[in-house]
Amino acid sequence: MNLFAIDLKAGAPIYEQVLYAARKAILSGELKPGDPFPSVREIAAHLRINPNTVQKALTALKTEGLVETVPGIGNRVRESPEPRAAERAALLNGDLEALVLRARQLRLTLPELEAALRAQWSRFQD
Amino acid sequence: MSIQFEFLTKQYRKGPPALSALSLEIPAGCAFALMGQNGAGKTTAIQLLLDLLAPTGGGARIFNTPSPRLRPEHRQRIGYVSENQHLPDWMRVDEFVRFLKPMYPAWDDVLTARLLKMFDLPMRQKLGTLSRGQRMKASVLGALCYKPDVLILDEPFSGLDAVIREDLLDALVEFLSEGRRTLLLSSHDMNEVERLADTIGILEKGGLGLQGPVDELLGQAREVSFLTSASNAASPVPPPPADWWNVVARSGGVTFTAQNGADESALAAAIRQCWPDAHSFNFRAPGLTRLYVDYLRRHDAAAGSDSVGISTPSAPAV
Repeated sequence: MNLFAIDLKAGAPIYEQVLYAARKAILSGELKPGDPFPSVREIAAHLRINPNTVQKALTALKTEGLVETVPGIGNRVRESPEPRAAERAALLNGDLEALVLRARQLRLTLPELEAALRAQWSRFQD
Repeated sequence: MSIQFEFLTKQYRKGPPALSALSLEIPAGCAFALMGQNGAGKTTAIQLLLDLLAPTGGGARIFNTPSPRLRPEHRQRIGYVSENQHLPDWMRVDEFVRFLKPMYPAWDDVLTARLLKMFDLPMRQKLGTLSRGQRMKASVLGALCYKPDVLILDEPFSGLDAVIREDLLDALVEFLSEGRRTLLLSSHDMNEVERLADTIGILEKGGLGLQGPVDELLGQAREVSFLTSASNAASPVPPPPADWWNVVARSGGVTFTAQNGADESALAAAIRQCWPDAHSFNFRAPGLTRLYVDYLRRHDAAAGSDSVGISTPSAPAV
């Protein structure tokens, strides 16, 4: 369970870092539907953060339909339809921002960037 | 309410008031960090709350009981550790534990044994011969083992090394996991505040400045940077609003923290009002350190040697 391996960084809100790590683990398929999801207490102890903060993140994950609490068993990743493409794409936001920034520094136009992206994409096509 | 401050005021014999009309409520189950620079009044507020000092105005309450009327049965539910905790130096660690236990009906032997092991305290050594870090551990142990409803920590981490901080953090996170415990923490240590507190309040010159839930404050705020070629980069017209903190222009780049910036397109539009050619915007939710420093620097005229001060409505540049 990779949620425990997240390295909390200074300079970004802890709540958002926990939420991001959990979303990433689930949407990327690292955690499968039905897999157990750690309890608030476990996450708080492992990351050494206030359980209230973890609780808020867990509530957000439940609202998003990614995690559910099963009475008598605990938290688990929800059996859900394929995550929407937009949700998966949102995980790329940081990388895309860096890419766009770099492209603009190099004075590339958007069509030029698209062409470069397509060329890279095709390298990995079977 | 677990803790209340009502117009709490303290004037020492000399100097400006250490606290002037501080009002604040901390509900049960809240982990509140009192932040602020040295001399902002954090320790004074805590000492007044515990009736270790007498106020010159206003008052404070714990469990709805005014501080001067706190009785032993209240104190049995309050844990308190200060930076320079007074300990009975002549006692050994095991004697210290045996000495404390009868004073607290809720004393938990299982928890005590676990904390002694976790903190790796030398049982047969006298408290007076312990290192600073070990003394702090002994103090924290002495405050946690009776499972207080309210725990008050005054600068618990200052001057301690990373290993000891981590042990203390482990114990405090465990404490917070046990039901509706209330924590009041005064600290300079951003890392620990960020980890332990769900709510913060910044004391400034004896009064309460910025306060609120950490997630909301950080989620609403934006750490802003952008580029501009404007010749007036350092003195935009109109001047930036008061909730843009620590605006610094440095060789074509401008940075600041916007208190209310979650609507990023509105923020970009507002920035273009002041800097029409602003471009390459970068917005992100700040960490607690950035928010704290920029908030406290919001009135500064110039923040660095190669930076140019920006006038703000509250602190007009000359």
